[in-house]
Amino acid sequence: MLKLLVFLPLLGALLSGIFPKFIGKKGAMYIPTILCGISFIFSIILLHNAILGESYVINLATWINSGYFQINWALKLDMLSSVMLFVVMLVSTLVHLYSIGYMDRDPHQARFFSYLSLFTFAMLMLVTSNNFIQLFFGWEGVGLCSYLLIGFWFKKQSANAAAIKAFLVNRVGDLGLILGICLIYFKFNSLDYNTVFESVTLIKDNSFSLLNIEIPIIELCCFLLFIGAMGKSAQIILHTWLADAMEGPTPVSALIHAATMVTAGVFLVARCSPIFEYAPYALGFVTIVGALTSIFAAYVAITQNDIKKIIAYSTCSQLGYMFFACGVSAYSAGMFHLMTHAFFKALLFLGAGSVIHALSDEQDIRKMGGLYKALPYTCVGMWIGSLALAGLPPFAGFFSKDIILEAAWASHTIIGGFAFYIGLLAALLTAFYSWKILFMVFHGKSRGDISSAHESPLTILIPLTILSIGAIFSGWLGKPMIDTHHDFWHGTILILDNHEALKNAHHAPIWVKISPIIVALIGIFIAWVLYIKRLNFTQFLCERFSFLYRCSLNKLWFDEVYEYLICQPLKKCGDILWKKGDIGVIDRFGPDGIVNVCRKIAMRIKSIQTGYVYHYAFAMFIGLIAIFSWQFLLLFGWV
Amino acid sequence: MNSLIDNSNLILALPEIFLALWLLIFIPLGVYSGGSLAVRQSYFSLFAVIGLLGTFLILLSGGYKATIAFNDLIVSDKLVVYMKSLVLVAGILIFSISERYRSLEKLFIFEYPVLVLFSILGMLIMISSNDFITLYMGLELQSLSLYVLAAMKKDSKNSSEAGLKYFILGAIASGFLLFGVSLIFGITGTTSFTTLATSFSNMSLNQPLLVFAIIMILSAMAFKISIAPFHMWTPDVYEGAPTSITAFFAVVPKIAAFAVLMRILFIAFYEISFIWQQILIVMSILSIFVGAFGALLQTSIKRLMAYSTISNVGYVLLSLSLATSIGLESSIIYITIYTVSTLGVFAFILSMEKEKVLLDKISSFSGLSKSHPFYALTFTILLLSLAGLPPLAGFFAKFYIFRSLIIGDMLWVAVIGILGSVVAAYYYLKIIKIMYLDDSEELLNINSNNYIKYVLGFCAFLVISFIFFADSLIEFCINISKAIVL
Amino acid sequence: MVSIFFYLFAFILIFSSVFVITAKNPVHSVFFLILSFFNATGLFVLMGAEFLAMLLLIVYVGAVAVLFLFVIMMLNIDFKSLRTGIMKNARLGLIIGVVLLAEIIFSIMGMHYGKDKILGTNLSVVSNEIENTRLLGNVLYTDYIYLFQTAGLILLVAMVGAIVLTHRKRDNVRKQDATKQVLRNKSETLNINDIEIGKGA
Repeated sequence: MLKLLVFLPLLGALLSGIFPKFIGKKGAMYIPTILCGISFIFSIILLHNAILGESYVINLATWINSGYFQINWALKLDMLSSVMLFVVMLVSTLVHLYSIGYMDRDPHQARFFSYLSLFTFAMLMLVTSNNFIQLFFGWEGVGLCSYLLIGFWFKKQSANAAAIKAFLVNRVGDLGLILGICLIYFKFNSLDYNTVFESVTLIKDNSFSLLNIEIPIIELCCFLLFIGAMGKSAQIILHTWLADAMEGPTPVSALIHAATMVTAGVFLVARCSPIFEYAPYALGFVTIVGALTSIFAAYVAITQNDIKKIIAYSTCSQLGYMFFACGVSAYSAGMFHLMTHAFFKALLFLGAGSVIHALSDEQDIRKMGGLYKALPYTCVGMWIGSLALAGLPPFAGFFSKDIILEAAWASHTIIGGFAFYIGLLAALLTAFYSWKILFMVFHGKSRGDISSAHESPLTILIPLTILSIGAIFSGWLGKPMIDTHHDFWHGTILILDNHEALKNAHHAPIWVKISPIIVALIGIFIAWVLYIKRLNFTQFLCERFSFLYRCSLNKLWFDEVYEYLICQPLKKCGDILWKKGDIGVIDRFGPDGIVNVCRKIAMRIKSIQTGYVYHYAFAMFIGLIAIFSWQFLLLFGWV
Repeated sequence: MNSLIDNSNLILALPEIFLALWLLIFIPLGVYSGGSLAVRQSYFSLFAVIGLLGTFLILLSGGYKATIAFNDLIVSDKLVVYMKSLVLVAGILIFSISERYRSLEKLFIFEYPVLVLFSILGMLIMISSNDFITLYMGLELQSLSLYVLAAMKKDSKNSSEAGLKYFILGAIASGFLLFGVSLIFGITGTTSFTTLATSFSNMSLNQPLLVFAIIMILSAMAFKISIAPFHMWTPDVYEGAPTSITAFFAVVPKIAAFAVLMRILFIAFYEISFIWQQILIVMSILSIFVGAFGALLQTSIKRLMAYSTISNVGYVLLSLSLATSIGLESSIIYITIYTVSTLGVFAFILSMEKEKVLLDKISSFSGLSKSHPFYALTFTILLLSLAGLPPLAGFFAKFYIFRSLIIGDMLWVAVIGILGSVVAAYYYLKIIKIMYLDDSEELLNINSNNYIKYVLGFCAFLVISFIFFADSLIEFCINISKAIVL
Repeated sequence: MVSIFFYLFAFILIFSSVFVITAKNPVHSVFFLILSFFNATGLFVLMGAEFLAMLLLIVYVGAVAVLFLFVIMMLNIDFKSLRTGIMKNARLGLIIGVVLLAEIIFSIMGMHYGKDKILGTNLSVVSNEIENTRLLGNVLYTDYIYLFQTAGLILLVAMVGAIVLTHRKRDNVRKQDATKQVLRNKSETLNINDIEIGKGA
């Protein structure tokens, strides 16, 4: 069943990708969707089985077999992967369904669905792998699909640029991941999860010295792996691609850049928890990066005007939450938030997509307003999503965000405390920008032409409804995930005994538990004041704190700094190397030189071929005599 | 005295006897039923193919048991049966792809299939020979038919020239062979491979005359498989001969010559491998490079294929020169894959026609990917396989050659061989570039019959899917070579 | 005595072979060829191989050489012009020939002499009791039947090949076809016209 689950999306991708004409336009849309639906049903069954304690590995084929190094194509089912399977398949299926409605006007549906299904397949390979190499295969596979889908409208210059940017930034992270994997192989002589995780304790004290500083191997491994995770999950420093990635079609943003691919980094950290647990400094780093990302992204989000970009930064910020949960060893809290976030963030994206669709591809929230009449269902969906995102009870986000903050507080470390307060502030901003969207899009006066706005078709509304239900109940249903008395994860997540943030979190004081709700309410209130009650006050604030405003609006100039510090020098270097080094030296003596030599030899051989038969006979004799003379001299020892 | 002509002897030679009898029926049949009438030609071809099929079936029913018959003159074992099957199957396929070309080029005379069958008969005799005299007889029967076939296009000057050149140079090569064999007979008193092997093991081997004899024999064989510096005839004959005959030249005689060369090297001369090893290495490296560089500037696809053949046989000879079981095994694999790829390539060449004239200029394939995507795609696959790109069959062929070289401690030779294949990859890729990227000058009109299409598709399919049945073929080749070399 | 004749025949054989190549007149070349065949026959006779000697005489001198002579005399080929380029490569050819010869001589000198080494098996196949022809026949039709038959096939191929390459349909040649002549009837060939009197011009 696991095999079917994984390969049905691939089948869908191949069918609609290679035989679009054969299965027709409708077929190219419905067949992948139905196949995904079947996979989704399987994933529910497998999740059920996994909860009952089932776990196994299916070996499909040997991939690499070189000396002692053996890598198999294998599908691993355990608690962690089954949760991911469920999340991925749910969102993927809904997005497929949604896309049928959303992409109805696009001429390249078959290609779109093929990419979507391919992405799903790659993601499934990633989560079900039982070794690092297959994980890397899936990792790159999702990266590739992300590239293809961001640049789906390849005629749009900005989409192409965004796709390339996403790909390149991810490469930086991937480099870290590759190095990490290499280092693991170097130290453990294996890339199989089980083998590696079992032998962690054996090498945890190994270290090597670099510039007289002793660096524990395991810290470095974790650090490198986390760099990979940072790239894929758009953490600060490597976050710049995510906002640009919104150039892709909205369902793509929902699937890849909100619910699944970007969470791969969190999954990686959770999967590698048996290694990370022995690397306290790396964990600290994870926490700091996560916390900084959460506040930074939330801060940038408040001033953005593109509805999708706001949600994208929100995603970034929520990923930061997940990471600092992992950083304080509350991996299960991170995974829990991953799941609830998948629901409400997909809901928000799909809702935003519905709005955009209704307004004929208008994305600027300043040109919207008062849409609740035209789009009642979407409006309700967005409200539910925002409530969940802000973490108000009893919506999903409440449970997961609460536990993360509590865990941060309960870790009783300086970094944990720092993360807690940062997290609170980010929660305030989160609530603020969420309601900014709601107020500016659905309430107040209309600022643009919305007369043609209409509610979206059923294929769009059904996923919205399902996700809304999920956004309401998934937190409550998923509570066992963070239950410390009963090991929900069946040992797939390792937490050392001295890292008891999660355990302590349940005994956090009442103010810690309530504070996220309070700050969220404050955030909503501010938003209400600024965008409904006193519109001119917004302007005043912008001018009064113009520096902060501009910082936020320009995303702290990350792109510009990168452009100036990295891109331009690199371009110059490349230019010099290309013109002087490549053309001047390598080409001249390398390819061009070799080509010239080859050409000369070829001319010589051609000129020998005179066409006269006596020349040929002569050549035969000369050959014969040359060979014989050579042997003759050898034989008599004259050479 | 008549004990030689008993059943066991006859059974061993049954495929050859059957084919010879079939030919003896064929000739009068052809003469008395309108041998040069165009309408009858497909029946004649069919008749020839049935003869080959019958031979094939008889061959397969004979089994693989290693036996010697006719007073040590002929032998049968796994290598013989496998190589004969390869020859027969390739012969049948070439018949099926050359039909249309023959109709275009006025080659619709019944002597054509007759001579092809004769040469195949010669090859069968060659392959199963266990004596230099048998080898020579088979070789002459084969070559004589091929000389005539090369010159068959009587209204073409090139064709007559090709036939004459091939004849004269072939006669010189035969002279070499006979000279070498007579010296060997003088030294050892025998011409039988198996007896030679034993007589070498109890005599002093440090004799210049023996070296000379071996060089003579190897040169003659090198001529037959077009190894440099005895390759000179190849491009001219390939170009001049009728294309369907070129296809035959490129594939079938090479299999037979290699089969007998394997037997000479690994049975008769195995004890004295120290003499021939160096010689073969030098010759094969030379031909790899002549093949690679010679093809670079060719504009005619037939000449290009000639050079391609030269470099490919270089690889086979290179791994034979190892004188190990692994080398033998990888050369058998290489020959098999080479046969399939080259057959496919010639199926393609034979289907490229415009206004009833076969195209020969490589540049005339431009824009083929748009007008005839099937042909362009299959041809691309075959060329990529010849260039040795994974995961196609050609890659594995080269891979096993280089692997055997490295195992045999000839790393530098392997490196040189790889360099040669890099150069060779250029001209294969150039054709692909022309087909896919260049704009077409004029549209081609391909009227090929379905056989060509099937053969082309079949070869391309085999080349792609090799990876799936590689294990069984390699296992099989290992068995063959284990039976020859202990 | 035998060795004197051996050296005589061998000497003449070599020199006549050289003259075959160098003679200016092609007819002379053929005559030298015939001379060399005769000397080779003499060598065979010295070895006791009478049958082969006769065979050589009958086949090569009687048939092949005479055929050559006919061809050369009947075809009007200017051999002078064909020879023009020959001296250009003669020096190189000479060098190669000399090198080859020297090497072969050295090789033979490097041989381990001894009756049992050269032609190691018994040479007593040539017996005086049974005549040569029978002896050959005995092995040719038994031990070497396979090769004998193959040789027959080679000759057949030679014949077929010769026919294929030379036989061609010429359009402008008038040929008598007896069958056609006999089979034709009156209605096909005769055309009876009614012609008015005085108008049959």
